[in-house]
Amino acid sequence: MCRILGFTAIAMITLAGFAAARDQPAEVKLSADNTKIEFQCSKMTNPVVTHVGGFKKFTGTASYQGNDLTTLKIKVDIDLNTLFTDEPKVTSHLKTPDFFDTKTYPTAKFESTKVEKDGADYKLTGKLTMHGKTKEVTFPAKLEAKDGGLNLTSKFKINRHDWAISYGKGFVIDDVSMDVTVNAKK
Amino acid sequence: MPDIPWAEMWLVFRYAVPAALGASLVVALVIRLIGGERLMPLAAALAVAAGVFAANHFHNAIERWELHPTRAWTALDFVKVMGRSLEEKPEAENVDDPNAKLPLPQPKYWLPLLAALAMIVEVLVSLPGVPPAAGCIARTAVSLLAARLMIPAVESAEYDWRLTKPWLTWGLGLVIALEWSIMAALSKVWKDGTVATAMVFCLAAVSILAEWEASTGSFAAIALYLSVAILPVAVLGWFKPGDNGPALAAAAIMIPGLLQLSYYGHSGETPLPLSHFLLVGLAPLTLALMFLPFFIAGRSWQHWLPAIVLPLIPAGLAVYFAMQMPADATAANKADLPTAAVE
Repeated sequence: MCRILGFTAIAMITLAGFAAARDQPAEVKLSADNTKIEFQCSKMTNPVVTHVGGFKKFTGTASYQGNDLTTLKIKVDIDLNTLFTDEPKVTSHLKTPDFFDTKTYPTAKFESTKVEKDGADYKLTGKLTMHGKTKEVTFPAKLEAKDGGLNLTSKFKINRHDWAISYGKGFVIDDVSMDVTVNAKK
Repeated sequence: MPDIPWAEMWLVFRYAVPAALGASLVVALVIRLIGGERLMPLAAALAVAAGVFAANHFHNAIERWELHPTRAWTALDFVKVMGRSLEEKPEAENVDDPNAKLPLPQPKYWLPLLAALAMIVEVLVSLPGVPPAAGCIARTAVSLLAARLMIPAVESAEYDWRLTKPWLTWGLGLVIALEWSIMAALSKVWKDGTVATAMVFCLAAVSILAEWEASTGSFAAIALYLSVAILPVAVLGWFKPGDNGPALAAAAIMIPGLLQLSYYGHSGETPLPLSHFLLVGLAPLTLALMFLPFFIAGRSWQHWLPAIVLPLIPAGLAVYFAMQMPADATAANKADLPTAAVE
């Protein structure tokens, strides 16, 4: 009888341990090593000229409970002075007061507030702060939790005028295409 | 040789430049012909304003200033923002609640307003009966206000020039006040298009430096608009002389102001050559030589030729030096670029 009770106790403790481990928050650090934040912007010339670029330095975290990705919390700080594009002139121009004004506003921040299941994918909502303005954005994302790590891919568009980045209205296209990829291991 | 954005330049020269020329010419002609020489200061001010507005309608280099994200701005908002702008270290905006506070002031929004204020002041001090001392005091006060607002107040200690370069406000204010006073005095003596023509060239040089070296398209466009808007005032001055001081007042604010903002706003990996910006920014000061008796009393070419050529020498040199500079070295390595770009 004592032996049976002992086995039961050990089994319960082990199961509880597994359950606790499964519900433990998983947190990964985000950086340029495991994450890409890229953009595409276009000028209304004939033909339309598209420039691609990204950011070389940013820091952040992504955390979620167990394997439940609706609990995902993402926080990223982007160093806008590390912005780069395929064209040096465009890189310089994007940093000036015409666009990001990186001396006045050196960082952009994103903080997720809500993650919802949307069919096979997810819908991420969060506050994006840049150029001194904060605006809520919602975008689709493919998410995968794997061994405490996180895979994320997302393509979406933002309107630069929402952050009062308004230079070249009618010349520089308003929508900027964003392409975010995270491949972070625990 | 720096990169030249031909596509954007074509848009500017196709629409904005003709619009600025046309609007300025019509306004200057109408007021000058109806009001005579007495109304020339008003004609100059309104012509410049009309030219810049017309150009901006087609190219939008002067952005709309939205003080508040959800409502139209009020006079009280304006006073509050002006107060914050003048503080040595304005409190940072609480970006989590943008409705709670007015935005951190940005010099680029103040610049057109300051140029307009300078033109209004110059129109007022040109009225009969206004003592010269009042004009001098008003010009100095506006110059110092402009200098204060042109030095950005930012959160980053490294780039906070109000704290790290406290002398800069006084230096910039002194330059603006001197250039403005010299041009105002000469425009009252000669009453032709001499000084205005010189400023057309100086503003064109500002436009070239802002575009080629500082990569700031909006400041380059604003300098170009003003240059083109002053041109009809200058030409009119040769045929129908009169005091075109208000147009020169706008130039006195804009030339150092745009150069300061372009220089400050650049964030390339290679620092901008300060000497180029100083050469253009201080070019109008060469007009002080025109007070020498030989020049000031000179008839015809004896005054207009040196008055146009003197500022053109440093401004032209700066443009020449800028042409020798290589393109900005902030080029991304192929390895840094997104896959789509490399493909």
